[in-house]
Amino acid sequence: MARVGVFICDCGVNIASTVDVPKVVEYAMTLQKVAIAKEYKYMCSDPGQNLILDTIKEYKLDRIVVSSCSPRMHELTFRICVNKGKINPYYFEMANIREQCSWVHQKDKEAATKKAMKLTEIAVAKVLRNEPLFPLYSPVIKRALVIGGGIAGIQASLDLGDAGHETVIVERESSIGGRMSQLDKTFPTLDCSQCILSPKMVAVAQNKNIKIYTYAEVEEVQGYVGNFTVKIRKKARYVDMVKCTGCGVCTQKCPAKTSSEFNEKTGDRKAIYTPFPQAVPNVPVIDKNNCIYFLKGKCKVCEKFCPSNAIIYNQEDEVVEEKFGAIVVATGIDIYDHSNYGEYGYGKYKNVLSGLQFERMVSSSGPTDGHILRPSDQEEPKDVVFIQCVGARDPSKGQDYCARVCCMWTAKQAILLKEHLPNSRAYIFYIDIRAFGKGYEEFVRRAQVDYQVTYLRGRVSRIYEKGKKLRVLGTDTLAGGQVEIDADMVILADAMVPKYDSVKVAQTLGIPYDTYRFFTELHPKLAPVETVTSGIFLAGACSGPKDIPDTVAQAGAAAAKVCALFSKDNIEIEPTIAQVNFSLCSGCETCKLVCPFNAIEMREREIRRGVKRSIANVIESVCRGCGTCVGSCYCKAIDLRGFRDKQIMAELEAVCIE
Amino acid sequence: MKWIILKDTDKKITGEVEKISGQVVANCYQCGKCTAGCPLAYAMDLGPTRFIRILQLGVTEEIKKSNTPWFCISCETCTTRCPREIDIAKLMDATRIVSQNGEFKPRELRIAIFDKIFTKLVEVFGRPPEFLLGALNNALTFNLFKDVLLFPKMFIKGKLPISFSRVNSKAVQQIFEKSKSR
Amino acid sequence: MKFAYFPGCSLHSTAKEYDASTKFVCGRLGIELVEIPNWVCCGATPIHRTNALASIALPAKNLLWAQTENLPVAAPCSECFSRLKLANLEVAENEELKKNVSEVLGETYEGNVDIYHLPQVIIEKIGLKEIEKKVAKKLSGLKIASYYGCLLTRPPKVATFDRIEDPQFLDNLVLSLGAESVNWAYKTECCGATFSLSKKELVLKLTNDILQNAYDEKADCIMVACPLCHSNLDLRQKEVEKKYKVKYNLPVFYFTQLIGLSMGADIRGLGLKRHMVSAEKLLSSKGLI
Repeated sequence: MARVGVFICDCGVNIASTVDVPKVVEYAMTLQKVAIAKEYKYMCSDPGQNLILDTIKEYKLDRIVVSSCSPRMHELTFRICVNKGKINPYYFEMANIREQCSWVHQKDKEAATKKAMKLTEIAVAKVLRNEPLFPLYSPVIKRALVIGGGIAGIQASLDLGDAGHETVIVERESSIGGRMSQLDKTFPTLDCSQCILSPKMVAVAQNKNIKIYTYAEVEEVQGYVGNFTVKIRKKARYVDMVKCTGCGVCTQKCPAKTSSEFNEKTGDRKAIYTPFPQAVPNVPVIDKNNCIYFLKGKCKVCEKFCPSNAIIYNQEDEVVEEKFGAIVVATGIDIYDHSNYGEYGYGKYKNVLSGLQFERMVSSSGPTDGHILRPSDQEEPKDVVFIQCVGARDPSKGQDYCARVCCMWTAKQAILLKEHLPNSRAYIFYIDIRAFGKGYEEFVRRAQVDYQVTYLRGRVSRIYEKGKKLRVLGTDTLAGGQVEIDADMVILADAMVPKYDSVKVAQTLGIPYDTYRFFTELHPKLAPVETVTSGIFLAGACSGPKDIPDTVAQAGAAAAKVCALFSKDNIEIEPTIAQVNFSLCSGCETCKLVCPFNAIEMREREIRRGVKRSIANVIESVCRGCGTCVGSCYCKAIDLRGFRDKQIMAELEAVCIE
Repeated sequence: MKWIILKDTDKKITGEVEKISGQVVANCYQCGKCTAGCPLAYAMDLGPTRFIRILQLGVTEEIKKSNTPWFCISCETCTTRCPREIDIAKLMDATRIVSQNGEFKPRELRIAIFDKIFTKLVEVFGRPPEFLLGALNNALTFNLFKDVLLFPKMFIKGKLPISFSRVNSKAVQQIFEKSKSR
Repeated sequence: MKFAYFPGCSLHSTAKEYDASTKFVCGRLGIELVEIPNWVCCGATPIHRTNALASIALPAKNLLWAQTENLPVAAPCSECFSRLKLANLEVAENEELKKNVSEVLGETYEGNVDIYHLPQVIIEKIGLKEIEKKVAKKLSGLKIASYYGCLLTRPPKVATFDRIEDPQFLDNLVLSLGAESVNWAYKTECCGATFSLSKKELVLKLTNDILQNAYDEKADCIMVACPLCHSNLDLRQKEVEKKYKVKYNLPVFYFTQLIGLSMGADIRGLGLKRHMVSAEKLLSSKGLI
């Protein structure tokens, strides 16, 4: 005889201020087979859990319902608690009366109370039809895949490698380094970006646990936590990685030029190139789209001059398949396309630059060797205007979010300008200065006071060319007037946006993304590096704009999560997976077709004595319990453990009965 | 410097402006892009940014005193460039309508009178005769000789027809009568 | 191609030459314009500043005929175009407004009429290729600053035919006529027409800024597609010159006049003699008349 205990949580005022909890308790007591119902302020707290344990003993309960928050929040907490009380954790149900009730019905307390009663009743109806389930175990492959070789990927790999785990970095470009390698200096310490990054790049290359695949992309991911199978495409670089010594003669002699992506199109590169001098690995690639040999069939200058015979024109892409136990996604960001702001004339006026273009100009390894020059005539600029929040905090451009780094980045660039050209004048248009990090506010002060950078509070409405100058029409809302500046150069702050193909990456990995296309964390506060797909972790700006310190911290956190996962030889898998009723299965293979995880195989089975048939079989370790097969089965031969038809029907009945 | 006593502020005008324009003034974060690009900001006392700010706070006296909504020329530059997608030009229109509805006196009489004359002429004639528009405007704003020097040349060039006729005036009058009652 | 033609008040008074040249060019390009019978004023700016409902109902009154005849509307004036299209959009978007407008009009207006600005009809519907074919005399050597003004590109939900900032469609037309297009910054700045009668002193500065920029960028003349822009830039040019002590002498053409000229029309028929700033000297110096 089932004896159900119902526990209703106030969640402080989160539930109790909207839902009349005592009334729900009263109602729960009237439900069939409910032995006891109790209210408590915080059911998830230690005293709350003890209350559940004590009540189990006192009333000899064998099934538990907790009406509180979302199962995503505390289902596990209560399952563990129930298990301590010697009840199978699957004899437990949770009714969500917070996110799906009190929070959304704050204006109608009566209806919210009614709904809370109903939700509790539904959970009771289900728990009565629950069955005990026992966890399944699956082995963990202790190899990690890190996608992206920017500072996030580098840091995560170093931490994993140092912890003794075999790690593979897959980087799309021909060198690791990412966005950080494009920067000249970093705020707020003005450390040289390349100087603090290169040692880490070298450390990655030298770590015996870390393998780097550059010029490679992840093509397909199969499997589940502890056991991912990943296909990686190693793009043909037409240079032998082993033979090449990185002498650079090929690049020197190559006659074909095109604009350099690394320098944000402000300078040129050759068709055979390494993106920057400190590249790791220091092996060039041939850019097929600009190589004269590939375009016209003649040239082969690089091959002629290569002292180590490392050029292979007929090299082809290679796809390798490897197994991993965990994946760290560190795919980074793109920069907002400023040409969407027609009023600023980016792309039309030569002297309107993006932040990264200016960064390359200031960098001593950049196209101007670190000289700040007006692109239109190579003269030193006198008046330079910086505009913040371009492509950020701007719903009219679909970019509602704050890009988070531009305030500091712009302050840094203004300081760099003043250090390079002390007689120049720097103007920064801003809306708010967000200098929340350690040493950030002090840094902005330095820009304002020590470097005499003029901060103007307001957005710029328009920029147009007037003679050799750019006329900037802005405002200073603090002084209360329109502002007109005849500038030599205008720098538009770069808002971080998701990588152009972030959706494709998310789909390959099976992780969610938000409205802007950034990857979504499992929980924005409490699980910032996890994703809903266990075994896949996030690091760096792929989940939202981040500066370098935050990115490095997050990469370390992701690595720690992977280490925790790798500390076990086996991991528990939820037993709520599909199950085939062999006698009903017709062997039509529809379930096999629709399963997104390839968890169904067909197997010959003896159904009656002497009668053999091909029947669907669920591979337990692969099934994720999504239920797609259940919905697709014509014969109702598949059921989901923990969500059987009879359980769902009981819930529906409870919904319908007044 | 003004002394804004928040307990004396009143959101009545703001509420009416929001209702007529269909805009929400709380959307504005005072970035100033509207003021920066406004061709007439040079003549305004507050400029659109600060005008929206006093609407947000409900500083009634300032709203009534400001020439900003009256000097708006409806060029739509602010509306086009506003990052928060506020139809600022419509907010200015709505403020003037609230004034016309008798809530407060128009700050710029000459502009208000012109609008009135124009409206009346449309109501009476269906198409406002430009000659009459100019003449009446001059008379009612005590500026009899404004643009008089232009008249002869315009007349010669055939740009100033003196004759006028009434078109569809019944229907137009009906439009005005019925829309007033709403 | 048949359009319901809404000339607007100006084309019957101060801008008769725009009306005449429009009819000439459309006739040559095979565009049939049927004037909306008994049309009334679109309400212009003064009405939308004084009466929100009437500012929608007046344009809707004119659109009713087009709705019945199932014809797209062509409006040569930017103000009229903007008011007509906005009324159409707002009625389509807002059920309550539709009810109110229909009640005021005594007829139901659905908000489903297609409304085009005249340049859009000529450049988009006919196409520059067709126009080029009809060019008899290229306007070589003429440096034209295309002036778009406010309402030809703003607000974006109404004026949907080109990019908002630095639009190009009139410049492209200029090139098709064999003339030179001037790259200038003030092509979409406001001329101030709304205050031309009520607050002239504010307007002269705006007009001066525009003329100044066109002059600085070495334009021979300005091309417009709106009678209000024309009246400010042409009619008030002498006044501006006097007030700011400058000399521009920039003739202001309607775009239809320039198309007509390139098609070999007679300058009197195009109304080129009706401008305050004489165009004849410029045109004869370039050998165009």
